[in-house]
Amino acid sequence: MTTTGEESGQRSDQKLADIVRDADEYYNNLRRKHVSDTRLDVGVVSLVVWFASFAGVGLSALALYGRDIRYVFVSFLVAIVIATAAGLATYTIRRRRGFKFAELGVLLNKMKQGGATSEDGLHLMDAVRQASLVAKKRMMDSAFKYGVVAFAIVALIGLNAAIGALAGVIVYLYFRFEALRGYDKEEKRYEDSKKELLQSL
Amino acid sequence: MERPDLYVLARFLDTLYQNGKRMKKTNLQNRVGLNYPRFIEYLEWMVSHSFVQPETDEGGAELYSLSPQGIDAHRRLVAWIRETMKGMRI
Repeated sequence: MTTTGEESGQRSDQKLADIVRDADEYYNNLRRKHVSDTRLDVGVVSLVVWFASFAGVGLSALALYGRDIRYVFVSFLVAIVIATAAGLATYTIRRRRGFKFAELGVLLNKMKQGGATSEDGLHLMDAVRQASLVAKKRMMDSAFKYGVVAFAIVALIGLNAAIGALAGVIVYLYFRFEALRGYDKEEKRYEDSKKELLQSL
Repeated sequence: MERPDLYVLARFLDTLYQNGKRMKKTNLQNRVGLNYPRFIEYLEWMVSHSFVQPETDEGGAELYSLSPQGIDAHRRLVAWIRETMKGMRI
């Protein structure tokens, strides 16, 4: 290699090391965010399910068997069991989604141990894109949550469940549309820049 | 070849770049892991784009090494990966 070639090679090596470092940072952020989001989801789901179960079972018991503190206590316990099951189910679902990051972690470890190549860099980029698919799924979940919150607020303020439902659906569709649009835009940007690179080579 | 696979191109560039010196055709084929017809197709593409320079040694064996354009292509590929990854966000 010539001196210019060597300099260019050193820059490539440095950039590859930077890619690994950036991806490692991204992966750690992803894992931390996934853990905190999982905790929040489990907490919110458990609380909402507990409240709904307690209200449902408690009111049914009162209506069927009359005012008796024992039934309220049993309803309280039943609601705790149902809420725990819902929390565990949420945790399992979220954990299963987290495994999609595993490929990125394995690839990063491999690249950190041995010398990174540009082909590894391309694989790493694909793994990051896979991880962003999980993020897209999470944004869709958020759209659903916003829809439920909009339904609850509008139904409570307006004292009309139908208008609340309509508001919920509109909010859900809007955030879902935004999530999908953002993802499609990113996909198009990636495909276009890949084409540009191949043409420029 | 209309549109070469980016992964295969990267493997060619990585192999020749990391080796740093001239390589025999068989050795290069083994390292990039392609079947012979496909390997020749890619090699010809790389030679036609001046990324790889063919030479012949005293014994008449064909040897291949990365040209300055090839090194530049490797650098541009790595720079593109870095920039694209920077643009990817959650």
